Amino acid sequence: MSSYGRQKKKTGGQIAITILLYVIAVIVLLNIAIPLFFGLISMFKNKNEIFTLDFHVFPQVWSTDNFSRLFYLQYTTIGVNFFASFGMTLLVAAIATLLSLFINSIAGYAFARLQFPGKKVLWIIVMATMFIPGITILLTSISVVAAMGMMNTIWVLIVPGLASAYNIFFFRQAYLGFPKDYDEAARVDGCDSIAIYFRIYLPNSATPMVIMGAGTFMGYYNSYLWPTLTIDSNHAQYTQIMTLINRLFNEASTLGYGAVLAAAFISLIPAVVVFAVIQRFIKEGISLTGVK
Amino acid sequence: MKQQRFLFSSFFVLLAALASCTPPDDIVIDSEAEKVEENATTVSMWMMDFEEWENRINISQRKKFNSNLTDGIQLEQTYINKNDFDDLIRSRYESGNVPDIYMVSYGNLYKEIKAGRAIDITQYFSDDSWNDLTDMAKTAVNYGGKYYAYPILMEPSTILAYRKDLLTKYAGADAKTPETWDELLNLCGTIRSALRSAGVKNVYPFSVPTGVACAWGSWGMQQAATGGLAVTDDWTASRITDPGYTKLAELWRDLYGNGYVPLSSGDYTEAVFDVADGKSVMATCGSWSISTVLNQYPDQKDNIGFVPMPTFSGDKSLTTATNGGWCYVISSECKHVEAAAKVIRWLTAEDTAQAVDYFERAHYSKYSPRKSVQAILAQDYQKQNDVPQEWVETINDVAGKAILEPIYDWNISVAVEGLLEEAAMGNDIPTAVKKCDSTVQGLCATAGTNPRL
Amino acid sequence: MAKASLYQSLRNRKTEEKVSGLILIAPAFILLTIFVLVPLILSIYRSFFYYESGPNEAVFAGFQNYIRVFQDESFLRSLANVCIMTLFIVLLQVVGSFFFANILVRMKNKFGVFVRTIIYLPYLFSGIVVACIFTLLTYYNGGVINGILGKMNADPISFTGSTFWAYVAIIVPTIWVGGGYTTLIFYSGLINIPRSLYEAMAVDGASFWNTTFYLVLPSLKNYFVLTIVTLVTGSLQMFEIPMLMTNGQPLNKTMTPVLYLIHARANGNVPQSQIIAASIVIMIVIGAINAVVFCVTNRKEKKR
Repeated sequence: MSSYGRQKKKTGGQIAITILLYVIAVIVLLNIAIPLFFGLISMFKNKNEIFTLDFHVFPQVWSTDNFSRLFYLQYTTIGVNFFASFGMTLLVAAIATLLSLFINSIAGYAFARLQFPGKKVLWIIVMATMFIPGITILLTSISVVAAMGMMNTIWVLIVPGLASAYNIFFFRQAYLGFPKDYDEAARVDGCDSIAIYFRIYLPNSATPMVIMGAGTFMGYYNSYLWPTLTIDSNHAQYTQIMTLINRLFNEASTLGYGAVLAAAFISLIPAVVVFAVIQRFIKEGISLTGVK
Repeated sequence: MKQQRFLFSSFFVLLAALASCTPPDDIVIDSEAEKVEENATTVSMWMMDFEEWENRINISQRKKFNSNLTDGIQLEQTYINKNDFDDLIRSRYESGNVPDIYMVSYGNLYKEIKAGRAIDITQYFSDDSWNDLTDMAKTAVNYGGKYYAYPILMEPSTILAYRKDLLTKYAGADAKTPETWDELLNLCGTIRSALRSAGVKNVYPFSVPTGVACAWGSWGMQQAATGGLAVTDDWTASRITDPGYTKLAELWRDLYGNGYVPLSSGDYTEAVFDVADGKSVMATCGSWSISTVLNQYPDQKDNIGFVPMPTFSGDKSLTTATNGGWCYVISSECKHVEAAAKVIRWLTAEDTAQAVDYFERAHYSKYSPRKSVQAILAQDYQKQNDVPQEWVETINDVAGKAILEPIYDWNISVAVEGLLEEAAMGNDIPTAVKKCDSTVQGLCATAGTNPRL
Repeated sequence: MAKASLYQSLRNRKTEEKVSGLILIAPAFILLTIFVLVPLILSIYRSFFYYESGPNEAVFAGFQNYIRVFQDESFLRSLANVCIMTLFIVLLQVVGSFFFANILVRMKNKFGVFVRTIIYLPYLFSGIVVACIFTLLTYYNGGVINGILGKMNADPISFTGSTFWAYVAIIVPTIWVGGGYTTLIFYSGLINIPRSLYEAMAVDGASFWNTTFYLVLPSLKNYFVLTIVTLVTGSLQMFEIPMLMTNGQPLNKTMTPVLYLIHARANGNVPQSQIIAASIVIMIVIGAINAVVFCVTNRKEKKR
C-alpha cells in the first residue's frame, strides 16, 4: 500500500493518517520514557523530598545522598556491599551464559542434524520441560540442590538453570536453517559429527549465540526468587542484585525511596549495555524464535 | 561501536563520581573489630531485621558476648528481612543449615512447637529465671507445662498517636483526644471539614491498619468491641455474629466512606511516620512507634502524643490491645543446645544488665516480660526524663490491660480482616458478616483444640 | 579433539552419529533430568504425603492434599484473580501490539527504526526493578501521580484501595515490560508477508479492514498462537510485579497463585505438602488453558 503512496501524490486524508500514526508512535515512546524519567530524576531527591505532599517534578536540592548510601550499605544491617553484589551477579550471569550457550547449542545441533537412538522420545521429554512452571518444582528443587550440597555456593546460582529447553529449541531452529552441503564437504574431509559442530556450526552461529546469550544473561541477571531462597544472609558475598533491591524496597522507609531507585537504575546498566550490543540482531532473532 | 564506547565511558564517569561520595549522616561506620575465639563452638542466631537503631543494640550485645574469649562460644547473628524471615526458616528446615536460635513472635510460637521445630528448653534455664517471668509471659511460652521459648519483650500492638499542633490547628484549641469511637468520628468530621475548607489534600484525620496488619492490629479492637476474639475460647464456634463485629464493620465503613482514613496506607509498623510527617493528624500504631519517634524524629517529641485507643463504650477498663512480642527458640536441628541456651541466658534470661540496657535504649517503649527487670526499669526511669511521662503512662496502662496474641489459625484473623475490608469498600455489612461467619465456622472445624485451656 | 579422532576411527558413519549425538545431548539432558524432571517427580510424589518442614515424619495422605487445595477458598480466589488479569493482559497486549506493529510497518524512515529499537528495551528489565519504578508513580501518599493530581486539586487515587486501580497498577507495568517485544514479533510477521499478496488485494480494491481480516490475520496465525501461549504461561505465573505493586491488596483481589503460595509458605498456615499439591494444580491449569488456546486456533483453521 505504501509503495503506491510513494508514487501517487498524497491526498489530504493520507497525510492526516500519517500524522496520526506518528502521534501514536510518539505517545508510545512517551509512555516508555515517562516512568523512567520520573525514576531517574527522583534518584536525586533526598529522603524528605521524595514522597512529600508538596510535589515537584525536579528535586529542590539535587543530592547524591542516595548513591553514597549505596556505597555504605555494608555498614547498615543490610550488610551487603552493593557494588560487590552487582559484580557478583554479573559474574554469575556471565559464567552461566557461556556454559549455557555451549551446552544448549551442542544439544540443539544434535537434535537438528544427527540421528541417534531415542531421539524422538528425548525431544518430546526436552520440549515437555518447557511447560513445567517454575513454582511446581521450586520447593523440591531446593531439596535437590540441598542434597547435592550446593546451597549457599556460587554453583546453586549457576548450575540449575543451565540447560534450557527453550534455548535448545532455538538453536535447533537456527541450525536447521544451515545448508547441509557444508556438512557433507566436511565429512569428505574426514570430520566426524562433533568436529563438524566445532568447524562449521559454532563459528557460524554468531546470531543465535548473541540472541540466546543476551536472553540467558538477562534471565540470570534478573532472577529474584531462586537466589533469594538459596543464598542466606550469612553468605552475603553471593547476594544477587534483585534480592538486594527487593530488600532495599522493603527497607525503603528507613533508607529513603531515592536509594531504592538509585539501586534500581544502577542495576539497569547491564540491561542497557546488552540492549546496545544486540539491537542489530533483534529483528533476526525474532524471526528465528521459531514462528514457522 | 560509538554508542557502546559512550555507554561504557559514561558508566565509568558515573562510578568515579560516586566514589567521591561521603557517607550520609545517619550511617555510622562501626570500625570496632569483632573478637573471634579460636576453636569455639559457633552458635548461629537469626534475628528479625528491625529498625536500624534496634539492630545496633543487638549487634553491640553480640560484640560484647564475643569479647569473652574463654566461654568457648562464638555467636554469629544474621539479620533477616521480616518479609522473608519465615520463608527462609522453612527453606532451611528442608535444606539444612537451620540456625540454632531464632526469633519467633508469641503468636507463631505454637506453630513452631506443633511442627516440632522448637524444642522444650525448660531444663536449660534455672527455676529462678522461669519464675522471674510475669504470668502473661509464662502463658505465652509455656505449653503443656513445658517451656519452649524465652521471651525477649512485650509490646502493645495498638495505641493512638496524634499530632498536637495539627489537632489544635484543625479541630480548635479545646479539642480533646477521643475516648469513644463516636467522639473519634465526630473529631474526624471536624478535622476533615477544616482540611477541606483550607484546601489541604492528602492529609487525613486518622489511619487504621490495612492489609495483613489489619488482621493482627485489630485484635485489641475486637476484644474491646466484643469482649472476645473471632472464635470462642475452646475454638469450636465462630463469634462473628456478635453485634460487636457488626459495630466494628460499621465503624470501618464510616471511616472509609467519609474519607477520614486514607484508602491505602503504608506499612502499619511505620504508621507513625505519617503522623510525624504531617500526612495524618491521628493514627493507629504500635508501642514501638515511641522509640521510632525518639530515634528518627527527635525534634517532634513534644509535638506528638500517645493515648489508648478509643472504644465503643468509653469504658476505660477495657482491653484495647494485644501484647505482641518476640521470643527466642532453639531449633530442633541444633547440635549444641547447651551452648545455645547459654547465649539466651546471657542475652535475656539471667543477668539483668543486658535486658535493662536494651529497654533503656528502646526508650521504654517496650515492656519487659521479667519482673526483676521491670522493677529496675521502674527505678531507673525516675532518674532520667528523656521520654515524656505521659507516653510511658499510656504504654503501662495499655500493656497492663492487654491480652496475649491469639494462637488460633491465622486464616481466622485473615477472615476478620476480609470482613473489615469489605465494609471499608462499602459492601453490604450483614452479607459480609454472614460470609465471614461461615468462613470462620469452617476454619473452626480444622482448628483443633486450644492448648492454652 | 582427541575424542574426535577416536570416533573418526569408527568408519561406520551411522554408529559415529549415534555415539556423537548421545554425547552432545548428554550434558543438557542430564541437567534437565536433575533440575527439572527429578524435582517434578519428587513434587508429584510428595503431594501424596502430609508433612510440614521440620523434624516430623511425612505421613501418606492419598489425595487429601488435593482435596484441601480445592477447599482452600483463598487459593481458588487467587486462581480466579490471575485468570482475569491474564485475560486483560493478553487482550490488551495482543491487540495493542498488533495495532502498533501495523503502524510500524508503515514507518520506513529512521524514526521508525528508532521506535522499533527502543520499544524492545523494557523487555530486558526485571520485574523487581520495573515495580520499584512504578511504585514511585503509584505510591499513595506522595507518589508522582497523586502529587500531580494534588497540584490539580483532584482527589488522590489509591492504587491498592480499589480493585480497578489495583488491576491497573499490575497490568500497566506488565504490558509496559512486554508490549514492545510482542510488537516486534508481530512486526516481523507482517514484513514476512509477501508484498505481492498485498498488491493483489489492493488491485481487488480491498479496504484496510478486509486486508487485515482476510490476509494479515490468517498469515499471522502462528505468531498469534505463540504470543498468546507465551503470555498466558507467563501471566499465570505473575509474581514479582504483583508482590511489589499491591501485594494482594485490596481484599486479596490481586493475589496471584504463586504469590499466595509464597505467602502461605512464609506464614506457615498451609502445610508444605499442600503447597506442593497446589503448585501441581497450577501446572495443570496452565497446561489446560494452553491446550484450549491450541484447540481454538486449530478449529478456526479447519473452518477456513
